[in-house]
Amino acid sequence: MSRTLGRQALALAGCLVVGTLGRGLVRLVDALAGSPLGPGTVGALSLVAGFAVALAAVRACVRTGRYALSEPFSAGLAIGVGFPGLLAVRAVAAAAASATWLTWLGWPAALGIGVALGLGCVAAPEFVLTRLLAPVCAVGCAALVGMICLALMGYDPVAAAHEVVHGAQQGKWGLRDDLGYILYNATPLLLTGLAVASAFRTGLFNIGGRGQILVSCLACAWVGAFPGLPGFLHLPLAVGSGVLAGAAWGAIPGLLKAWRGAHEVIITIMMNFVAAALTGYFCTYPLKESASSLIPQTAPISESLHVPRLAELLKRADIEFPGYVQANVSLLVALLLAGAVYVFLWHTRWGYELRAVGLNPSAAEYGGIRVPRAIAMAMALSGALSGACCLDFICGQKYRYMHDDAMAYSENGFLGIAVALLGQNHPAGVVAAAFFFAFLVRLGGLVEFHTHVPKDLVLVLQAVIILFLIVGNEVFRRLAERYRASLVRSGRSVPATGGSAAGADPAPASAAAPGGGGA
Amino acid sequence: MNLLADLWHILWSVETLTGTIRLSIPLLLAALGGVFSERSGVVNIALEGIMLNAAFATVLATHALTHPAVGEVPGGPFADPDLLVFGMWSGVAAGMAAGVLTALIHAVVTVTAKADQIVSGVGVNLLAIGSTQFLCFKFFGSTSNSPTIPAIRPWDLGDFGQSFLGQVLFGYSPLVYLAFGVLALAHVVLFRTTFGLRLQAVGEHPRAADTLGVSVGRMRYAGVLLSGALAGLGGAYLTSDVAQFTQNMTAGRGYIALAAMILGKWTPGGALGACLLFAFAQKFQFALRGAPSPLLQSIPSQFTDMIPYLLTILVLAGLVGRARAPAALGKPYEASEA
Repeated sequence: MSRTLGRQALALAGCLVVGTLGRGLVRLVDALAGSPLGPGTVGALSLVAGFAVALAAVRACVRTGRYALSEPFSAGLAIGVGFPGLLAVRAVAAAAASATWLTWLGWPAALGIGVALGLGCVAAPEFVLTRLLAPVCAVGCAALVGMICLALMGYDPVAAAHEVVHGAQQGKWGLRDDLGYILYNATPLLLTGLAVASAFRTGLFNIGGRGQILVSCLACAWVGAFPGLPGFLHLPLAVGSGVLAGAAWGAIPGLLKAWRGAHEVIITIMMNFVAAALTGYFCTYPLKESASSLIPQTAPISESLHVPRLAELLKRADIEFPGYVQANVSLLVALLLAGAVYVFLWHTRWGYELRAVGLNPSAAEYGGIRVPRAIAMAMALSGALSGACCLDFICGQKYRYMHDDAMAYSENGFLGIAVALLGQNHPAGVVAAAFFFAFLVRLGGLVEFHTHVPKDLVLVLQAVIILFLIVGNEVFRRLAERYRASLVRSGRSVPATGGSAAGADPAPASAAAPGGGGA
Repeated sequence: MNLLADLWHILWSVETLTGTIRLSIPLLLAALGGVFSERSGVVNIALEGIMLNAAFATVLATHALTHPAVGEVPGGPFADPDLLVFGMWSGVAAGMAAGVLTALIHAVVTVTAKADQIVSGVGVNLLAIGSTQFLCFKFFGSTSNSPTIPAIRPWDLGDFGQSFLGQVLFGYSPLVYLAFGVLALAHVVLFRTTFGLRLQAVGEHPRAADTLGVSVGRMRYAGVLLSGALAGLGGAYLTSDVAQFTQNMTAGRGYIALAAMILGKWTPGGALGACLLFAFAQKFQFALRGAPSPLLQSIPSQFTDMIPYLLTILVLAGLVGRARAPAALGKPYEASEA
């Protein structure tokens, strides 16, 4: 096995090198001819040429029968993923070229990663097909749409990208600032993404993140403002009540679904509006800081509840970090929660029950799992994860409940859907997707700063990613089915689905086809 | 007693009655759209985004056609006061077209690609918020609002128009009467025509419909695109009401329309009742602000805001009446399924 893999790696590396040479050839010809085409056109042309040359090389390898890339399908996939992967790594290395060691290490590193990606495709074509390709293609399509939008606004997309990257090299935006803002944006996305993903695994769709965040933040701020409690007790009490409030707000649709058959999607949407009105009422009337104030906000929480910002922690380790960035300890908590959700869903009995219900409710019931209880539990868990946002928003940022800010912050509940989808409903994927979206938001801000293109572009891109992702998931799922069928026809054994933990099981069947509206 | 008199006065004021009708129209149109889409078996959360896109398209087209000349820049082709009405109705048509186009995205994703209908709706809504703000900046230089556009006015009926009956019956934009016409038409089409019965069949039992030679995909496309046209008309009405586009101006009306459709048990008539109820709750709250009795004034607006949502939750939970969705709602149809 390892010898075959070694030979395949060698073949793949050869094909990739030939491909990049083909790409370089286009650029060379262009440069010799005095660059009659714009940089954008040449970039696109060279990309296509490199890709075609790499594919041709693979075909030649397979034809002559010299190489172990005997599976044409896997081979094509390997190049299809390996080549763009190589170029992407190379582009990142070029963008971060201020670190000089990267510039000369860039090509070998890129080649290595490209080969690794390609080999992954050869070793586990199904995993790549059903789990990896759709997110990658969706992000690629979103990038394309973003470029078209920029062009519509009268900007040369390539020039704009260059300006942003160039700005980075000139030190117009410090890497630490941006990293700080990315971490700051990622925290709520991580939590809401986990919330949506965990519900998805039980075949439930939780659009109620907004409402769950709002009630949890209000509860946390209310308990947090109680006077005279010792600090070590107060923080867990306040955050605990926030999390409980979120869990309860999530459990209501769960219970209604479990016992009355009400569709959780519509109920959670309605609960969002109810939560907005309810929290608005509480911070305008009973819990308002002072009757004379016009701003709907509660009293500040006690100081013992303020959780340290990342900057303060890093200072102790003598690392400089901008103190005005509001990223705080809750990011670390969110990362721990991602691990906890993974362990819970894949390595405990309860998690197994939830996933079983998601994959096939009837089979789960037949197997002795109490489906209604699992549904209620999954929604409560999802609500609790959304509710954990109160640690970030109340204890880490605002130190009180401010209704307008909380309404804006609760948008994260919606964005969590995009995060969960891009992360393919797996905690590891969610972590990656949350950081990616946080990066996207920051990038949108930078693009606005440099080109005056409104940062609402990021919303468009997120929507495009969602739409392409669900279409891509379907398309690639069908392709994978056809691939399996072709394996069966040709008499070869069907490989086990997926290779790594992330691909160990397919997406929940009932998540893809939620039941009727009310029946 | 004073309190009751106050309430009675508020309930029967011209303001409350006409306001209820006005507020109910965009909800009604979107809810009718929802009926067509969901009866064909496609969940349409995208109503919100469809309305938002339509509202923006209406403002954009009307502005382009009717804006007056400023200095060197010539005015729109319908800038002349006599021609203004053409510009305004073209704007409405543009809104409907934008609604259909937005619905087309939803249809392609859910019917052709057979992807998840709810996620697609969420995506379309997000797309509408982002793209309208983006385009608003592109065309009007601001992400928050557009310049004002001419609004479609009620007919001028002279003295009669000022009387109670005149105001309550005829004091509305022609779009309102159009909406009620559409309502009647929707009822007839859905329950009395071959097309409507096929649409229902596709939503209830697609396999049976397919066996009888009804194209499931085509009927679902028809349902979703019709919902785009109707919700688009609703979005166009919104802009004619306030005469400009503002950021996220639908403010959840698409979701309320969805709730109204469920409360109305997926029928046009039921949707009308629910929309009137929701609009009344909203208008009643405004009226309470101006009530002479301090007790009535002190009812927090948040409670009346909740009414549509709480009612929908109760209905879906089966605590008030029982809602029965089309049997195949939300399920993509696989022709080759065994």
